[in-house]
Amino acid sequence: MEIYGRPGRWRRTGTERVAERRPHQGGANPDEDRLVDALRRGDERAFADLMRRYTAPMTSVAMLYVSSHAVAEEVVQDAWMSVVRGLDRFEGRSSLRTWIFTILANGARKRAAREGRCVPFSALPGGLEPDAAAAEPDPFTPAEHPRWSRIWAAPNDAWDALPEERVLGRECVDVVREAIAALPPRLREVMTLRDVAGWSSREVAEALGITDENQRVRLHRARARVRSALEGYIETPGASA
Amino acid sequence: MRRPPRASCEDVVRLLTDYQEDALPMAERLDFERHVAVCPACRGYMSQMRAVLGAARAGGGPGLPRADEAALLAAFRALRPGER
Repeated sequence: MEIYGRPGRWRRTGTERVAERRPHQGGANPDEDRLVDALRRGDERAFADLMRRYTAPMTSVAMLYVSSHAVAEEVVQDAWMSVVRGLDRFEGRSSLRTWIFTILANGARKRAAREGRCVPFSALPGGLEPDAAAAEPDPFTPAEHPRWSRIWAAPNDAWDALPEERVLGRECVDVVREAIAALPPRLREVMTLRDVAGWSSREVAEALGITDENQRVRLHRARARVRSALEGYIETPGASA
Repeated sequence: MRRPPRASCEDVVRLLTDYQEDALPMAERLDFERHVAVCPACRGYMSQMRAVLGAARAGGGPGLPRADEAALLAAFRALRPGER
């Protein structure tokens, strides 16, 4: 996944970041219009593709609300049924993806209320948990250094230069999934919605009722912790997972 | 003449998410980019974060069991009769 592009064109390439600042509206995205048309016509393959694309992230999001994987799976299935039934009501005012996830989140919320569980989605009181990263050894040179103040004391391996199967292999994906699951809820929900489900920053801030800045702070802490977990795994293979 | 970057590696790590989210003021953004352009260690760090995000995106919950997927497809067929 290309996020930064290369030196000299970091900003204006077709990165996710730029793309997400302009979430497309219905009518502005011919691919999505075609997909919606196909679904309305009853094109089964289009629906099967859609299910395969979104079921996994939907399950992760459902898990933010409900207590077990089995219940999350039911919530996801119910959401798909609602999607099938409601396709004619989809007006394209949001993207198809947003619409599907809204249906999912509503269903999961109802289900959680029935379970007597209404914790996640930021009903939790209090501030952010203390940052565990603060307890880790300082990786930078001392500030007093006359010339090289606060730079990396040791080089960082480029993980995307490692063999593909290593970094995006099943094991690393599992390590990352477990690290996200182990985050405190307030960090986990933001990283799950942004990085697993692919919501935009604005969508997440709205869904959680937090400011953009708070959203960024949580995302930053969450990603830093998950990176540390993956680093622990990559540098000592077999130690975790 | 180009100014040397004022951002340290620590700044890059601290500001990375704000940079990605396009939340940095222009001057800080330029400093960030100038630093990263000449700093392999920070590019390494960013590549690590890229790997994390790639793995996160690839790793949602497992998909639905085959039988459930088939049931949903059948429901789709029944509710939206059309092609095939």
